[in-house]
Amino acid sequence: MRYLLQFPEFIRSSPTWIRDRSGLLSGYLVGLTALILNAGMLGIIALLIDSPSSFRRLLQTLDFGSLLGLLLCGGAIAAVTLLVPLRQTGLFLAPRIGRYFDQIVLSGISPMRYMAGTIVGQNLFFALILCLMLPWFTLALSIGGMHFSTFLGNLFLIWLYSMLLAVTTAALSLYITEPLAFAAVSVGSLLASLISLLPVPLQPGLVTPVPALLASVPQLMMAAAPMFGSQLGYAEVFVLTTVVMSAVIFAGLLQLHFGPLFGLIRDNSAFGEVVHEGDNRLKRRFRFRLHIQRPSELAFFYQNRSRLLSRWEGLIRWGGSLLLLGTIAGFGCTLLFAGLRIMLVGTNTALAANAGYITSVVQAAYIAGQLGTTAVAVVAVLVFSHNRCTFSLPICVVPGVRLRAGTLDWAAFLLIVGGTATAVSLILLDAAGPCQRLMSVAVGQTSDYIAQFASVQVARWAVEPQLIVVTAALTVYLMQRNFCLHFWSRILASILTGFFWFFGLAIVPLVVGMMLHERGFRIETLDRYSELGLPLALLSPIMASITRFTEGPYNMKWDQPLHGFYALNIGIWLLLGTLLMVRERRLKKADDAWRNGRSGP
Amino acid sequence: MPFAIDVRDVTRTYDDLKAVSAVSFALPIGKTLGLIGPNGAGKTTLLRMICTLVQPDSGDVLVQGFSARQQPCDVRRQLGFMPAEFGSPRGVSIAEYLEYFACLFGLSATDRQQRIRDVCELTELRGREGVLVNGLSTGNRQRLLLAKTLLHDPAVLVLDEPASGLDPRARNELRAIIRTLASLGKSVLISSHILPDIEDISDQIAIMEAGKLVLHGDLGSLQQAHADQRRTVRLKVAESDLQKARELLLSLPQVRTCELADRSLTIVFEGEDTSGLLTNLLQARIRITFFSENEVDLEQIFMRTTAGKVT
Repeated sequence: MRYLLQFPEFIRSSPTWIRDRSGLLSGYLVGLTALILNAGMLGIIALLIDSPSSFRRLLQTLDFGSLLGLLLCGGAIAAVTLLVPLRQTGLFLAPRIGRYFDQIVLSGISPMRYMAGTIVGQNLFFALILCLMLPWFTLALSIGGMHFSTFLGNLFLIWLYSMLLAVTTAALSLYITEPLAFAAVSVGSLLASLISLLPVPLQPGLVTPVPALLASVPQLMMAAAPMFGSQLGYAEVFVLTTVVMSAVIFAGLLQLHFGPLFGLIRDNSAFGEVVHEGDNRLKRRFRFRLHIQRPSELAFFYQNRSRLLSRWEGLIRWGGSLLLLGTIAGFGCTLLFAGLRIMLVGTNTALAANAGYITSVVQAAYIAGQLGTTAVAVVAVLVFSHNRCTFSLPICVVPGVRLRAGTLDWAAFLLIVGGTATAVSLILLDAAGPCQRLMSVAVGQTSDYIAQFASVQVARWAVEPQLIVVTAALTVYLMQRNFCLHFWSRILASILTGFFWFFGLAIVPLVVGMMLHERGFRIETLDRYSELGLPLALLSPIMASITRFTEGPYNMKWDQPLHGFYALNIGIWLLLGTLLMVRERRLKKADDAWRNGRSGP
Repeated sequence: MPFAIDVRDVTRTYDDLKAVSAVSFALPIGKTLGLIGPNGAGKTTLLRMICTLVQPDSGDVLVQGFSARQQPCDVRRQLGFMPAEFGSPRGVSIAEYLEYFACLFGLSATDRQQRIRDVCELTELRGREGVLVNGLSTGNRQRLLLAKTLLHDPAVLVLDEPASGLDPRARNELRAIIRTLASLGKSVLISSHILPDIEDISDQIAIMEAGKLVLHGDLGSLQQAHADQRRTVRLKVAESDLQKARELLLSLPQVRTCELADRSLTIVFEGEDTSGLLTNLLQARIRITFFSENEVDLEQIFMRTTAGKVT
């Protein structure tokens, strides 16, 4: 209660709030925003009227009030998606360009209080947008087509969405520069909004208000029903969207509170001046490393947070990341489990006999499982790989227990990837028996393509694709860790890892192998080695996965042995593991020598 | 004795460049210490280490008892740091600039306005609160920086080149402000190239060269320590007595030289006491119109102590 009472003062005394408040009330900004909004609205309406057939078709489905309401809320969503992240770009960039970020750091302000101002400042901006659109909203409501309560619900979701965008952009700004964070958040949100135009329940678009907006127009839902089956009602979508967006905001706020990995080491222990070993022997132009300078300055800034957080650093940071990732993976697993159960219970013998129905269900479940584990593995590779600045930092996991950041990375990565793969395998194994029984019903009813599933051991399907993902993930992780110890920028290391793995280990063997297999080169000498094509293609994890799902060429058996794939990956593990150990030992030695040389109190 | 700043054997290396090497000194509470040294001596690195913007490779700095290494946030709350470089948000007035920083320092809405009024009064910025920061003269920018530094009423002030780029009048005014702050019990560490300013306002002096502290102590004792056995005085007497005075002085055993130039006498003598010279002149009924003793000034101490080496 005390904190709630202090909240208004907490915001009122935030310097960024004060700056935003004075900036937003300028006539120039109000005028410009009004101009953009109204021009956009008029433009959309003009486009619709300009195409009478489409307009007529739309009006056959919707009345004008609903259409206008949709357009207005859609316009507000578009404006918020572009402008809120854009307004967040000055968070650290402006003080750094204005050369007063050191003064902010020295003021002792906590990062959360500093950033809370800009985030809450978005409310003013949101209010400005609403005020400017008020005549349009009044028009839409007065001509009917949208209930007032639904309209208010939509506005609430758009407000929540603007908060989500502000928090996400700020949280992302801790890792990448603000213009990049703005681009990532805006593009990501636009994509999520576009995806959510598909009226399918429980989709990634729940991080935007678009599904709720669509659900708020009953005519649209009824028109879509024959195509997509029964839809969730507005109330359900509203609650789901509110819960998902609130969860993302909460996670973002936690990230802002804890900040990037705290720690200063020899090479970046000076605010705004990054000097590395050997710099004095190099030309001056190599001295400034802006990509390290920024994280270093942020690390100084995050010294201003509570000391209690530093004492539980490891548990909070790695534990928190694991919890977040584990929750997302757990949510996915629950969906998979529940979806399979519902499908299998609802599938009677007649339905199972329908050509391809049960096989497509099984295939969808396995592909979903594999994609889910892959997504978790990709995020884990990015999150649990610290670069050469920070990998050897001794982190206080709990008071009195210190572990190196690199060790914690390994433990967290193996735990989350192994755990997810095991959970998915167990869910699929659980469904294997019923699936196998239902599959046998389809045999003999249809083509050879379906009939071959009779020989499929579903239980093996449950394990092997997961094993392929885990094997490939470990290879990618080892590559990433190696690159991370050679470069100061984790983004650069990730780009290189992605490039080398995707082209070197996934695409090249696949393309060359399949060309050989299909005699695609049309060169006699190469055609003689066509039998080597398939084993070569199977070195690629993409091909290895495809063959598990019989999506390969028709004349290729699905059950190809994957010895080459595993042998290649184990070989790469040994090589990269050795390189990693050597590199880590060398860097650790230098860091330890430096730390031991310091005579702190 | 409690210290406002206690620098304990700090060293900072950039690659193979030793910017600060095993520097130790302490600034007692309520005193003013002038830090001087040639360009590249390591002064700014030392100041940034005190302010927690650079972490020492070894050693530590205690500010009001808080360790810069272990408790950087506590140190920051004790300090007011005035940087050499002026940075500000774009398009803000003096009042907005000060309000922004007052918020950063966590002052409540009611305290903010009072503090802003107080610091504007002290730095003579009252009446100019609406002026845009970008259009300020160098002198006013320095005043504004100082006002910003004082907003949260810090116990310790660290001022990096506060007088650089200021005209003599502005320097004089800034000196007066710093003297006022010292009288209010603030501990001030000031780095400057302008030696007369430092000499005028500092209780203690620290001289750095090539990353090392070559001299530290009270200004008075340093002047005494660097005073020669031979001392110089300048004397003006009535024009009719000039020759007589010169002859008399040259006859005294302690006087080494006595030169007549520009109707005044410059006397170099050995020993500490100047009263013997004056007594002899007065007894000989010579009318003295001007007398001054040339003491060892900070510039002389600086020139004698440093050799112009940089890190």
